[in-house]
Amino acid sequence: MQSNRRSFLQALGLGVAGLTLGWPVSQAKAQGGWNGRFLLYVHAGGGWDPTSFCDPKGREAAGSPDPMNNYLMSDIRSTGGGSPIRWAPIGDNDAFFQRYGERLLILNGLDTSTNGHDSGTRYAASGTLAETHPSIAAFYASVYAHELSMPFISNGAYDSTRGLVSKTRIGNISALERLADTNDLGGSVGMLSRATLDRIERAQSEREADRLARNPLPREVQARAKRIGARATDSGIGRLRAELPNLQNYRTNLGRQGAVALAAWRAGVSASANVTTGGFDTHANNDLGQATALTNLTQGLDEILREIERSGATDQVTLIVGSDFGRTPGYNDGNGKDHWPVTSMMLLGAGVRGNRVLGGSTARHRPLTVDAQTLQPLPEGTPGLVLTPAHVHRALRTHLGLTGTEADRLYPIAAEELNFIG
Amino acid sequence: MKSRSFGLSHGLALTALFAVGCGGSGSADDPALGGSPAPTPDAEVTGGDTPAPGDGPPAPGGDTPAPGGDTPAPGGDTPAPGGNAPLPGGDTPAPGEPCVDSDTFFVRKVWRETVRPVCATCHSANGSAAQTRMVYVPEGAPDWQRRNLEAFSGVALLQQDGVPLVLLKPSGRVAHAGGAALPEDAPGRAAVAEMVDRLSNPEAYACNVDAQKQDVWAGVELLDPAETLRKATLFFGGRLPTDAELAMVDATGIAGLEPALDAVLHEDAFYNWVRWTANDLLLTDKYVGNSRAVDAIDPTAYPQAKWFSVAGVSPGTGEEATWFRAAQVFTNDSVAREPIELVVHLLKQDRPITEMLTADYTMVNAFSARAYGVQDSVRFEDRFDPREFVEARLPGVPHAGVLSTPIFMSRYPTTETNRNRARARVVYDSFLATNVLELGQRPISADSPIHNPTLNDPQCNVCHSVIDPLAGALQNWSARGGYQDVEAWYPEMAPPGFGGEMLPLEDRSTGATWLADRIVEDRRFDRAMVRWIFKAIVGSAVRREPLAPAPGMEESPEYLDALEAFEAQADDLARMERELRANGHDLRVLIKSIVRSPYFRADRSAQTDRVPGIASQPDVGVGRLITPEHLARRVQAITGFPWRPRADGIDYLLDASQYKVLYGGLDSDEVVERPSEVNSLMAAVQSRMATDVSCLLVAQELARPSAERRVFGGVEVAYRPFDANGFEVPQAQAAIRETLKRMHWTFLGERVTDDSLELERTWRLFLETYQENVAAMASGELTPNLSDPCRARTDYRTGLELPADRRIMSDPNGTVRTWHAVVFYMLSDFRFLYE
Repeated sequence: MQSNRRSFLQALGLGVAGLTLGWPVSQAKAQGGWNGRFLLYVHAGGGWDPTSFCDPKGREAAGSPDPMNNYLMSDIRSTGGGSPIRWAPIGDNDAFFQRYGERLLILNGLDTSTNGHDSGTRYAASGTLAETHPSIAAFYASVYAHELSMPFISNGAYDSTRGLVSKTRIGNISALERLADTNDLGGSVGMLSRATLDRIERAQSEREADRLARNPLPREVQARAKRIGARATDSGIGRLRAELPNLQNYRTNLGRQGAVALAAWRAGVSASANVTTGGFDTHANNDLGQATALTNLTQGLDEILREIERSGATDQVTLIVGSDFGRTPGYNDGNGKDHWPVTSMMLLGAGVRGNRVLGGSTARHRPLTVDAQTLQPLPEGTPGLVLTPAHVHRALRTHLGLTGTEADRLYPIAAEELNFIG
Repeated sequence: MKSRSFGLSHGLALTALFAVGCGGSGSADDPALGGSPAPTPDAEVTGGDTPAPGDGPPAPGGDTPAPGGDTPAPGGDTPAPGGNAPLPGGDTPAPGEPCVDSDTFFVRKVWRETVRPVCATCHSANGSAAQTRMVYVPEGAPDWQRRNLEAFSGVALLQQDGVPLVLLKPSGRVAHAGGAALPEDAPGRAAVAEMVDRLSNPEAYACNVDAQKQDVWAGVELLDPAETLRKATLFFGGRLPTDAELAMVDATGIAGLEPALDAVLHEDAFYNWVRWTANDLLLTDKYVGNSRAVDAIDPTAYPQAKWFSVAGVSPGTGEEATWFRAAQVFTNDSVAREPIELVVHLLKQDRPITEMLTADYTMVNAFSARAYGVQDSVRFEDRFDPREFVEARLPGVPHAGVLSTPIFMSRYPTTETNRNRARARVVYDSFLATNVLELGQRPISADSPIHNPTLNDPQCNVCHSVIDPLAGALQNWSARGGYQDVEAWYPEMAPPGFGGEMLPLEDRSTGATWLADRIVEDRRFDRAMVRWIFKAIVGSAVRREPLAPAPGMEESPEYLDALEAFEAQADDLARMERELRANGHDLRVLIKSIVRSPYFRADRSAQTDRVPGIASQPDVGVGRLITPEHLARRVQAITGFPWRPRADGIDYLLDASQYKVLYGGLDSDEVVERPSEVNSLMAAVQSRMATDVSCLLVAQELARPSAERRVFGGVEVAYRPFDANGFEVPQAQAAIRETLKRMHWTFLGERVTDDSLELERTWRLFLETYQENVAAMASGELTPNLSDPCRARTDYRTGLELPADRRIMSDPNGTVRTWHAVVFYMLSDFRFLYE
C-alpha cells in the first residue's frame, strides 16, 4: 500500500501535504499563464501557386505560348521605392501586400523535393519530409508552455506533437464555452451548490484513498493521478471566453480560427496554434481557384493581423505561412496546374525583419541557388546552396530560442544554419 | 560454478531438438569448434552429473577468452565445451541463481543483441539474403523464437575449415554479401560462439527450465466473474448484464460467461462496436458526411456516384428536396462505410475475417448500388432502408475485400511518382503487422551513385524491395480507387509480387485478388488481426521490446519487469494467433480469448508490498479512459438517457463539432490515434456530462411510472429521509438506501453490502445534501423552482406534454436536487469514466 501511495503521489507531483489541500494542485502553474510570444502557423492547404502570389512570373504578351501565368509580366505589382516585394495581380493580393509588405519576409524558390500533399504539408510545418518530427507550433509549445491547459491549438494541417505536448482541437466555440463553468445551467444558480460540490469532492477523495489502500495496479494509480491533475488544472476556458471577440464579425474561417487562438493566448492558456485554409489544389481552372483561395488566405491573414494590432501585440506574435508545395509551370489541358515541388514561405511578426525577399526561382519556377551569406539568388546554373523548408525551420528554431533544447537534439533539422530572420 | 540470472524464464525447451546429430559433444581442442583452450580445473560440475536448478554448467576457468589473447584464431572466442554458461562480460553470479537455458540465451543474448540488428534485415523473407539457408522471421511472428533458433542452428552447425559458418561468414574473411558484419572484435561475437557451443553440447548447458518457470500473473487479482460480465456486456453490447446472465456466472463462475458473451457478441450494439473498431483500422470514416466520399472516388470509374444530383431535377423543392438531400447523405455514407460494412457483414454471417481481404464481392445498400450502377442486379427487402447492406459484384471489378473498395483506395491515394507505395505501406501495416518504415531506420546517403537506387542500392531497397512488389500488385487501381487496365508496370521497380513470389503475368489484371490470397495465408495476417482487436479491447498497442538498458543495468528490476512483460505478452499473443487460425479466423474466438485473459480482467495486486512484474506495465489493469463512443453508450445504458443537446440530436460525444474529438475521438483524417490520458478540457467534458445528465435524468425518471424507470424504480419524489418534524421515515430511508446500493452496481460495478463503507459514504452524501437543501429553502436562500433543463414538463423521448400530476417543475421536498448530487457523484466517479 505504501508503495502505491508513494507512486500515486509521485505521479501527482505532490508531497503528502498535497492531498490534504484537495484538488487544486497545479492550478498555480496555469494561473500564472503564458505571457511570452505566440506562434501562429498558417497553412494554405492543397499546394498554392507561388507564381499567383509572392513569386510572380506572368507572360510576356497575350499570345505567348505555354505561359507561366495568364496575367502579363507588366501587370506584376510591387510597392516600389526599391522594395523587393512583388506579387501577382490576383485576388486581394494588392491590398494584402500593400498593407503588410514592409513586415513580410518572403522566401522564394524553396525546394520541397516532394509532390505529395502529406509529405509537403509535413515539410512546411516541421522542416522534415519524414514522419518523425513535431510540427513547429507543437515544438514551440512543448518547450515553453506544456503545462498550460491548451498549449497548442490545432485546426488541422500537419500538427503532430510527437507526444511532447497536448494538442487541443477547437471545432465549435459554443461547445467549448459550455465547459467554462460545468455547473452552469443557464440560470442564476448552478445545478449544485458550492457546498454540495465540495461534499462530493470530499467523498470522491475518500473513495480514492480507499482504493489506493487496496493495491491498485500502476496503470490505475497513474490514471487516477492524471485525472486529479487534469481536474485541478484550470482549463482557462472562462478566461478564453472573456477574451473572445465577436466571431460573427469575421468574414473568413481563417480569421475566426486565428481570433480564437489569439484569445486563448491572451487568456494565458495557449502558446501556439495551427490555422488552416484550403482550396489550393487547383488541378483544373487554376487561376480562378487560386484567386479564390488566395483571397480567403489574404483576407484571413488581414483579419488575424488586425486582431493582433488591436491587442497591441504586433511585437509578440510570429506568423509562419506555408503550403504543401507549388504548382507546375504552365497550364494543363483543363487550365489547371498540377503538383510542383518548388514553393514559397512567408514570415512576419515578432522579430521578423520585413520588406525582404530571399531565395528565388527561374522564369519557369525552378529553384535558383543562393549566395550563402546574402541568400540572394545567383544566376541560373550557378552551383551553390538551394534553399529548402529545412533551412527555414533551422532558422526558425534559432529565432524562437528552440535550438539546443532537448527536443531540438531529439528532432534535428538536417540543414545549414542560416540566421536570416531577424 | 558460473551462471547468471535473466529473471523469469519463458524458454522454449527446444535444446533437445538440436542435441541429435549436432556433431557430438565436442571438446576444447576440437578444431571444428575453434580449438579453445582446455577447461581449467575449476570448471568441474559440482553437485552431480545433471546440474540442478540453480546450478549452471561448469565454467571454463571463470572467464571467456579475451579477444587478442592466447585463443587461437579462427573462432578463438568460442568458449570451452563442457564448461558453464558464461556470458560475455564474465560476471560471477551469486550461488543459487537460476541457470540460463539455451533457448533463453539465444533470444536474449544472440538474437536480440546480434542476429536481429546485424543479420535479420537481409536474412529475412523480404531481405536481400532471402534465398540463403539462413532466413529469420520477425519477432512476434507465430512461433518466431523456435523458427529463428532453427534458422540459426541450421547454419551454426555447418562448418568450413572447422569454423562454424555463422562465425566465418560475417567475419569478412570469406565471401559474404553483407561484408564483415560481425568482425573478430565485434562485441556480440562471443555470445554467438557460445551459442554454437551450446548447440553442440546441449548436455553441458542443460538446466531445468520448468522448475524455474513461474506463473507471471500470480499475485494479480482479477475481476470476479460478475464484474467481468458487467464489463464485457457494457463494452461490447452497451448494456448491463441481465439478471439471468448474472445468476449464471454467480452459479458457475467464469464458465458462465460463455453463453452471455455469445449472446452479446451477436447483438446489434456489438456490430456498432465492430464499426468503430474497423474504422480505427481502416480510417474510412474520414469520408462520412456531406459528399466527401462521392467526391473522393474516381468519377471516371464510377460516373453514377452522384446519381442523386440530376441537373434540372435535384435538389427540387419540398418533399422532393428532402428526398434528394437524404439520398445524398445515404449514398455518400454508404460509399464511405463500404469497407466497414463488409467487416460487419462477415461477423453477422459468421464468416472468417480473412474475407476482409478475399471477399469476391462488396457491400452495397440501395443507395450505393445506384452510385455503382448495379441497382438492377441486387435485391433489397426495403430499398429505402440505408441500413440494409447486401453483397454485390461490380461489373468488371475483380474484388479483393476492402482492398478493392474505392473508398479504401481513395483514403490512401497514389500518384505518378508514389506508384502505390503508400498503399503498400498501409497494407503492410494494417494486414501484415509490419511497419516498413522501421525496416529502413538506419543512416542513408542522399548521394547514392547507384543507378535506380530504390531497386539497386541496399540502403534504399531494404524498404523498397519489400514495398515495391506489393505496390505493383495493386497496379490496377487508379489514384482515386477506380479499377483500370494497365499495359505494363514500371520496369524500374521491383517486379510485382509478394513474399518472394512474382505476380504471374496472367494474374496481372487481378493483382489485388492474387495478393489478398497470399496475405491471408501469411501468418503475419493473424498477427495483424490479433494486434488490431487486442488494442481495440485492451486500449493499448502491443508492447514493444524494452530498449536495451545502459551497461550495468541489465539486471535492473524495471528492465527485467518490462522484458518479462514483453515476452509474456508475445507468448500470449502468439497463442491467440494460433487459435485464430485454428478456428477458421473466427474473430469472436479471439475476442472471447482476450476477454477471459488477465489483459481484460486484471484488477489489482494481491500483495501489499510489490506489484508482479507483468502487472507493473502501463497497459495492465483498470485505468483505460473510456472512449467517447463507449462513454456515450454507457451513459445511455445505465441512465436510460443519452447525453445530447436535444432528444433527436446527436450525442455530444459522437459529434465531431461538439465533444467527440475534444474527448479523444478520431476524425479519421488528422486525428487517427486516441489519447491515453485525460487533460483539463477532457476533465471539463466529464463534469459537463455529469451535470447535464444528472439534471435531465432525475426529473424525467421520477416523472414516469415506477415500472418504466431504470434508476429510481424504488423511490418517489416524496420519499424524504425525515418528515417535516425531523423524525426519521424508516420506509423511505430503506428505499433510498436500496436505490443507492443498486446504483453502486449499475453505475460503478460495485456490489456493496448494507453495512459497507461505500454505501455508508453515499448515504451520508445523500443525507447531508438533503439537509442542506431543506435548510436553504427554509431560509429563502434557495427557491423550490428547478432550473428549466432540470424540469420534466414533457416526456424527453416523445416530446409530448406529461400529465399535470406527473410533471416535475419544482422541488419543494428537496429530494430532486439531492438526487442530482448523487447521480453527479456517480457519473463523475473514476470507475464510471475508466475501465
